[in-house]
Amino acid sequence: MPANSKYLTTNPWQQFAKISAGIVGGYIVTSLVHIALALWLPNPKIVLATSIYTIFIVWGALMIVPFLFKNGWLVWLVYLGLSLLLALAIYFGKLNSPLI
Amino acid sequence: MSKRNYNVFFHTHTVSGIVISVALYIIFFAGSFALIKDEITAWEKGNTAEILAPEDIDFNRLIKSIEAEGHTLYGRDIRIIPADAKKDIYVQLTDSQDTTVVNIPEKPTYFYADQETYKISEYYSFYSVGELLYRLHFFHQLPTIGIYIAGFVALFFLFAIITGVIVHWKKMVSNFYVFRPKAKLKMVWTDAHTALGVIGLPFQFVYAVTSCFLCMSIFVLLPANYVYNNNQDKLLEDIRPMMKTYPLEEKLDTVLDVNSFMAKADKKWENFTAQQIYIKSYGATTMMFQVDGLLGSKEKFLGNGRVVYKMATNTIESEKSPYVNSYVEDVELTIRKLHFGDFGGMYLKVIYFILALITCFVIISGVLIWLEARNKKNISAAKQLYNRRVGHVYLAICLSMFPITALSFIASKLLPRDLDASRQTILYVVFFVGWLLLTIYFKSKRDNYITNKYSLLWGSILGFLIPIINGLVSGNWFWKTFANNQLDVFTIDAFWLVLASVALAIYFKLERKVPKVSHAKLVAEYQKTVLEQRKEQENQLETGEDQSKKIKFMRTKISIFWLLIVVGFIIHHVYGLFGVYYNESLMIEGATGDVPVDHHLYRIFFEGIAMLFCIATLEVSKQWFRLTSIIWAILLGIFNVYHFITAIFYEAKNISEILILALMGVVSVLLVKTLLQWRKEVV
Repeated sequence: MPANSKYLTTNPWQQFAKISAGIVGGYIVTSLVHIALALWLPNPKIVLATSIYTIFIVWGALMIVPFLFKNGWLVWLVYLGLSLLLALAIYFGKLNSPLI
Repeated sequence: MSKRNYNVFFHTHTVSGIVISVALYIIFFAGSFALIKDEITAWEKGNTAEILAPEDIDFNRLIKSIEAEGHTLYGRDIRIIPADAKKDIYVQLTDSQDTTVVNIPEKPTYFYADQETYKISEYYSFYSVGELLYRLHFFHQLPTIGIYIAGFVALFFLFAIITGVIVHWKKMVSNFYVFRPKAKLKMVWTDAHTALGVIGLPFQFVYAVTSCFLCMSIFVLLPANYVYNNNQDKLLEDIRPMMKTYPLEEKLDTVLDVNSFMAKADKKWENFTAQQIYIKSYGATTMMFQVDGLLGSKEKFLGNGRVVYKMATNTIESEKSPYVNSYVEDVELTIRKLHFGDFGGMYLKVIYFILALITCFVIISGVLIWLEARNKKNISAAKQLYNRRVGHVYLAICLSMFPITALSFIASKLLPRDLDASRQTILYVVFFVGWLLLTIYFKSKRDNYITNKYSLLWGSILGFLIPIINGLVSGNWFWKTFANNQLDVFTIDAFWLVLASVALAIYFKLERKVPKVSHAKLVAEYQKTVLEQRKEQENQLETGEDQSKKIKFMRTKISIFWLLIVVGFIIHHVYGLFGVYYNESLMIEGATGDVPVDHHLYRIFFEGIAMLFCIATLEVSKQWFRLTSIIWAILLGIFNVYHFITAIFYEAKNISEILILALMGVVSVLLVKTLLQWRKEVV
């Protein structure tokens, strides 16, 4: 029983969009989340130590999410939007409590 | 979960699993041996001396020995790892912090020191088969990119685990108890895959996550570096306190007794064993003696402590008690302990080993489900043939690892000690060439049942020979080593006896479940359909004349591609000398004015043979020639792609060379594609 192909994406561009969003976009969002948390939570050292394993778990989860969508480019949009929000959080986080 | 999502996750689980399956199998199989790599080395050396305890190391003698080798120690950090089963002390030197000396030839380096004679030997001077398997389990034999390949395999493994859990979630418990050994073959694989997958799940999850970190720590460091504004020293000091460096101050005029500090550190806490010893900023007033160690694993799982003495003033610079936990330090320690399985003695390693083999089984059964699910009447003969080939290659690569590992153990034991210098080469040839030949042999048999049966039989026979040959060569018969309590040597013999017995038992239990599918019949069927299709095409579109023109054109095209490859090699050669135009000196060491023979061979190999194919394509169109062309084109293609990647790493500045290499890669791909088309053409 291979998966029923009527549910699967066959367009190669869509496949590319989903896979790249998962691997590249997933990593960008993951690393930005960890940077933002390190800057906003009281103890950055603990966040960074935790990131040793959470980076890969969150990355793995964000690799799966794109497959829930029908349109892969929409995922890229969502991930880039999230990255923008996180980048803002990081910018103000750095102003608010610079580590060094 | 909606039907769509179920099918999508099912598909991603299948695809990600199949893509990484072979690499993952190699990682787990080699990794299971890596758990006992130190014991393997001890077994190979046959040295039954006691392991030197860290507190008994004569540091003063060790330092003298290092200096006698010509290393200037002033301003460097020395890292010392006490002897393990190999009976060697590992020493690592950083580069000097002393900036007043320009042009110091002293680069970071590492080597071993013998625990009795303190004689320095190169790290690779005794290359053990344990080391080979350990390095294979993160593809270290592929320079630079190997470890990242392993890291991404681990990441996709994590992906496959999570999607697997999602797919099986609803029926996880009920399916766990389902076992239908008498049912259709696919059911047997499915039941085994889910049940063993669930048993191994926590183990596999831990391995996926820890391996990601160990292979791809760069992805953790990038964000961390950003948080620290690229101040790496501060980052290391905060997150990995053992790595703290101390600024170099003026030179000490006296030589200090290092041994006394070790004696002090050893008495600091009870049951505290040194794991790593550092002497930092050697010879300066800021010289530090640092001991990082652990409490016994029975006492505390995470009992790491540290004491740093400022040697000039004989005071404690900083300390961390092993009885007090620190989250920041313990995370990485946990990851390492979980990955290396070194917290529960031999019993835990046995459990880890069994779980690793279970994982190997889960991977293989996954491939077999994939195969069986596609072995149906309604699938076209061409697809079936393709799937069968994939299955044969995958299983041949995976299953032949067992006999070839056993063979390499025998070879490593039979190699005399005076061949130590070429040990690595010989073991590489035995392991990798042997593996390749065995894979080709099993592939040519085209029968997974035969592959399985004979890998088990040969692995088992060779496995039984291992303790016998060890006894004959070194006199360390396993009953003797057991009686003398030389457990590291005994472990390997006992381990192989058990493994070989289990393999033999399975070998006798094996029976063919389904009748052998004749390959010739499938090929005939396939050719029939292809011929039919072609006839139809011919009738519809082209007259016979056009067809023959097309074939002739294809040969011209292939010939041009070969010519482009020849030109590419020549251009690449010229670009390699590009620096000469801009006054780079071109003096090869030991040049005599004669061209060495191997350089001729090298150029014939790359340019000459490609040229030969270019000419022959115009004249020869026999099937064997087409096949040879394909094989050679694929090998060249792999080489070109590999060369392109290494050039990016090592010669990033030579842009024109990288461009030509990229183009060569493109030509190779096009060539292989056209050749594959050509092979199908009827003459």
